[in-house]
Amino acid sequence: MLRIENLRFSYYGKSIINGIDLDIGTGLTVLLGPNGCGKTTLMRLMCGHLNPESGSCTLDGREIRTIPARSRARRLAYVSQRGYAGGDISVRDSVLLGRYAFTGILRSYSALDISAAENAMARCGVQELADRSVLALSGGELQRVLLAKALAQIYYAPGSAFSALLLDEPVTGLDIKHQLRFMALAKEISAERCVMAVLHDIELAARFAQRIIVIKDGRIFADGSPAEVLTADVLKEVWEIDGSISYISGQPFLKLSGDGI
Amino acid sequence: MKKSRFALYMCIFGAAAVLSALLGCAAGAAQMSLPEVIDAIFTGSGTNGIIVRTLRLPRVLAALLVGGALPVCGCALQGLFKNPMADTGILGISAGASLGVTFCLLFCSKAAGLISTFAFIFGCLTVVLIYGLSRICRGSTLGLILSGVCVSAFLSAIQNFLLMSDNTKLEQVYGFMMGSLSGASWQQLSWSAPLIITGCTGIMLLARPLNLLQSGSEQAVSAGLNEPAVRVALLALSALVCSSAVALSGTISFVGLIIPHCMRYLTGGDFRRLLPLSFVCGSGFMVLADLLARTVIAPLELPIGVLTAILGAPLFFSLMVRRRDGAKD
Repeated sequence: MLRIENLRFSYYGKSIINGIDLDIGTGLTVLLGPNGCGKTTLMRLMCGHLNPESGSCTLDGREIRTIPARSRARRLAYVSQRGYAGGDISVRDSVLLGRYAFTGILRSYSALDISAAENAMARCGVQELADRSVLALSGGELQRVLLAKALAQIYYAPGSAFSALLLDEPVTGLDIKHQLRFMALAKEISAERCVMAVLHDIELAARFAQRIIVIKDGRIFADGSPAEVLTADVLKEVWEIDGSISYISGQPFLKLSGDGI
Repeated sequence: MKKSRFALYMCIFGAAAVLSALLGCAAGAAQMSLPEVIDAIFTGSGTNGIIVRTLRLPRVLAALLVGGALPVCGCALQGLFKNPMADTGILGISAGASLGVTFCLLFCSKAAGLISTFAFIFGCLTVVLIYGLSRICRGSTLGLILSGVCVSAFLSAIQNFLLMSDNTKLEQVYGFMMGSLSGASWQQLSWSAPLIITGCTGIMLLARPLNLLQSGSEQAVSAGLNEPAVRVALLALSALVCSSAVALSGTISFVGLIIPHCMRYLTGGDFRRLLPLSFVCGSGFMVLADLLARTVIAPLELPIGVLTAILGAPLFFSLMVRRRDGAKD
């Protein structure tokens, strides 16, 4: 389990994260919030890329920053905003790089690494792109390759331990078809592990997330199921829009009053 | 690129390098046929044996090593800083090592071990200086390259100043500054060769981390890369290889920049293939360039650094233009 306790972080004297407590388990959790509320900073703190001012982020009880890079990578994968898949290498080689933590300077990829990469590619539907250069991919293809790479990284987490996949704005820039496909895939793979994604699309979050955490000014504003969290009051308070999430035949859609602003 | 194609390129460039080496041993004031050269190398008998074993072979081996070392360094630095312009020359490592050699020649001795040591110490100090300066510029790649250009110009000025203050050895140092393999000897090779081979092997072992670095620092660290350790190791190995090459041949420009770019066209950007191919192709290229340098205006000799710059500058420019035409990055 990922546990965050009393987490605080400031940047150039400006407080970005103001005391966050969270427990995150298996399933698809979506982080929502307006621009600049601290979503990406929270993710980077959770990965150990930033040092918190105070508080802790732990993975199964162990402080994430103190876990050696290779051990941490075997259980925690992160896809940053505007991620790159690497230089001019093939999709297969790029996904295999996700298995870096399992190799050594003199130890190349094992059969298990190759099978993890192939499985991850099949799961993300990028097998037919395997021999193509990552520089020749479209935006949607690149996002799926990045997901496959991250998935390969934690595919066989040691001893079936808890593993987590953190995705920072993974569908930004994708068309609607690819957004839906990507989120369906994220939900599918979240059956066995924690998948946490930062999104801006409230409707998309309501449709796919099992749990939604809304951040405002570096604090948790709301936390729960989509129906519990995405109320008219929350939309008004956090995004300053007049609207609500309605459900038609069980499918959520965002209904705005007038222009909504 | 498929492994079989990589193996094919390695075989082609490897065979070309061996053939150029034999040609390099055969050409000169005393012309020899290839069988005579092979006989001279292995039996060492007669005048041919003396000429080949004492004069031409060390020079050809030095060309093979320097020609392999500079592109490997350039390739590693280009990957490390994710900048196609990075190179030991542009980053000032060559200038640092060159100042070390000048210092040694002017104030100490011509002893091979001492030259290598001075080159390495000065090369390393330059890396530390450039890295420190670039940190002041918030560690950006542009900051690093500009720091390199600054430090390079500064060190060259010091070198010229030292030369002015003691012009008795001007010719010897000047020849070295322009890059020349004419001074290659078994003694110098016995120092530089193990260092170059060790350094290049070390860099090639770091090919996978280099590949990972191309996906960005955060992504690489997330995938389990110990980024600071890899950066320091690559910089130290590059300084070792570059300064050992400089101790052997002086500063030879453009080879470290051009060869990796050409190889990228053939193999793509996978450093596991790019590094060995750059080594083998650079080796063959340098032997041929040296052959040209000592035959084109024979009996005089053109400094090889001058020749590589004359050939390299327009070639590099044309690569740059082609890259802009079809560039994705």
